[in-house]
Amino acid sequence: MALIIVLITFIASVAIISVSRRSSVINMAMSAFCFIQLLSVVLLFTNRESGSTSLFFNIDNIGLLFHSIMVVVSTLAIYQGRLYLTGIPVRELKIYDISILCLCISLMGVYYSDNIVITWVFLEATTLASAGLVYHHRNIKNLEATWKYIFVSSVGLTVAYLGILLLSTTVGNDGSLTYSDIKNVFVDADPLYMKLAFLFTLIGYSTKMEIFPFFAIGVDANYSAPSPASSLISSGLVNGGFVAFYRIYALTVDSEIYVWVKNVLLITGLASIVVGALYLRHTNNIKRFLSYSTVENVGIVILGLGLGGMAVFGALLHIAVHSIIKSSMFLQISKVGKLFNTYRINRIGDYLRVDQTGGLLLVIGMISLTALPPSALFVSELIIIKEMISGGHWLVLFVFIVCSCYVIYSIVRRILYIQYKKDRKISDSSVIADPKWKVSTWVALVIVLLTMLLGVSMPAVVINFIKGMMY
Amino acid sequence: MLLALIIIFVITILYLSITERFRYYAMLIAVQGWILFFIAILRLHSSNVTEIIFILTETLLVKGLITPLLLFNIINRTGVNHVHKGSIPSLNSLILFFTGLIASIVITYYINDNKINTLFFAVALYALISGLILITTHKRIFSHLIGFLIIENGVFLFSMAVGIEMPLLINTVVLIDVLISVLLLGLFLNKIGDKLHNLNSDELSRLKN
Repeated sequence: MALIIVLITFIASVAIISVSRRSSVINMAMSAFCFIQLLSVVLLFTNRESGSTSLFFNIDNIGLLFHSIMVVVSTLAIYQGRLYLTGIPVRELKIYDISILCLCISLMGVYYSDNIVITWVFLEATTLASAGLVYHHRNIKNLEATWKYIFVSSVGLTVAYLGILLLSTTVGNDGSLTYSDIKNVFVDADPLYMKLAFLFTLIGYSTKMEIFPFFAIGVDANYSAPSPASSLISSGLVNGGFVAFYRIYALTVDSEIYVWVKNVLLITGLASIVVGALYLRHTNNIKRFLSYSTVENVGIVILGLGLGGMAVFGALLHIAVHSIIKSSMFLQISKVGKLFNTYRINRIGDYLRVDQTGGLLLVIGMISLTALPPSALFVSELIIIKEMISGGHWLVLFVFIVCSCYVIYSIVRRILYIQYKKDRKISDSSVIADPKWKVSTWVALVIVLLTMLLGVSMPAVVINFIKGMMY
Repeated sequence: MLLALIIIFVITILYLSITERFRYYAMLIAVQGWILFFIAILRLHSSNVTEIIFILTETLLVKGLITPLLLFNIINRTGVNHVHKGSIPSLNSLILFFTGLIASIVITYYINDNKINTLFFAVALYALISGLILITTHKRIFSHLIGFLIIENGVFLFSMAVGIEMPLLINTVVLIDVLISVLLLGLFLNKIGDKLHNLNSDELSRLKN
């Protein structure tokens, strides 16, 4: 019921925004959508029954968690979008808002979908919705990023669809394509087909998860989109790809290909960590920098799935916490970009003096992202490392530790540069005094601090909730 | 009859490998759409009207009409009707595509399973490989779009190979999704054509670290 209310609000909001010429009306429609989204999450949490299913959807823990994160991030992205895009024509604001709305509704579909093809359909829809955000500024770079994004995503998802067709051979024409139905017959399926199907879906969904091999288009999309929208792309969309992939991963558990699947994931995870770490050091653009950090972190998540056991718990905790921290960082970076009128790191500096709250947020975000204690990412990485040691994956551990040191060095160096480098030209100082921007910074700061609290002491309810997501 | 259609489909792909004009590319994609229509009709198990309408829409309307029209529109608007001069020579391209065909047959021979229709599987795999070859060896992004469309046609054949009949609702949303993404790709290709004039992928290299 809650999902239907969100859907109706979505249709009404899109209709109002499409016909309206006044920004106040558009703002009201967006506010209504945000409110209903928040309300729907509360309703779903309070009234959910275990395993409640309707048509193609299933309200489960994994869907609820990522939906909640998406709702918070999208609300902030919509709010900050107003500040970031001040002065743009109403038509452009409408495209931005409708794209965000479409992305939210598509992601909601991905999170809750219980049918393997419907998940794919919604994931494909996220590509189309994101295109409007990536092409927002309408220059040649945006055009290039949008083309690459749509093209590579479409090819990738077509390959994933091949995998889905192979998976559907397990149930034949008699069964439905729900994950539970496929899971029931998966153990008896032809291992060769299932291996092929898994590979195809992994390759295809890598376009959304921002992992090796198709990580680059996600980075370009984050770079090209307005920063508040990047916060949604780098968290909600990445999570969407992860949820779609995780549900397929769950099918393989208990099957005879599981050991092979884990090996493939170890290689993919490590490759993502290595490329993420290397590019992180190489780039001079703060948005690309954060995006490569996403590649590295999702690589850790995939590594966790590849290790299995309790590392899966670590992986789930890692992706959830990372998406919250990363979206907050992107939101703050949009303020930095507005202030200095650039995202080039070597042109930004002395930020801690100029904006103390924002600077503090970047420092805390830096500690969180580098997984230093008391970050919750420290806990998740520790669980993953413990599994590496207990499983005797010494080579994996070695590469992981080396890359992590390199990442810590890169992140700390860049963030400190932004905080302390003197003599940098400020373009728009009014951003600092603007109370609306202050609200945005404080909210992001509180969110990051809350994730740190999880690192200090994780309540049993959170642990049980995440354990409920494990298969 | 079915075998003849499959052979014509393979010939269209081989012809794609040697032709250098984009107009022929668009025509071959249209021909593939018609071939897929006849294959789907021949494979139809029941005389369900809605199913026939769906097949008609998916193959004839979308693959055989709308998509080729979109391709012709791009060619007319951008004025680019030729592959890049630096592209792989026709003979080499033909050898590459032929190797792909042999590889597809060999892989199908080894997989040889009673759950799948090996004839469709081999051609679907060949379409997939050909599409990827076209995307990686050609410099103009119009060819990349053609590669994507061939892969899409391969997926259509693949669904026949595995014999999965999805519910009509799911089939429809999948079709709408694919159609919108093709239209969107066409739209952005036109926009790129307006700004770059020659559709070379080399010029799409502004996004750097």
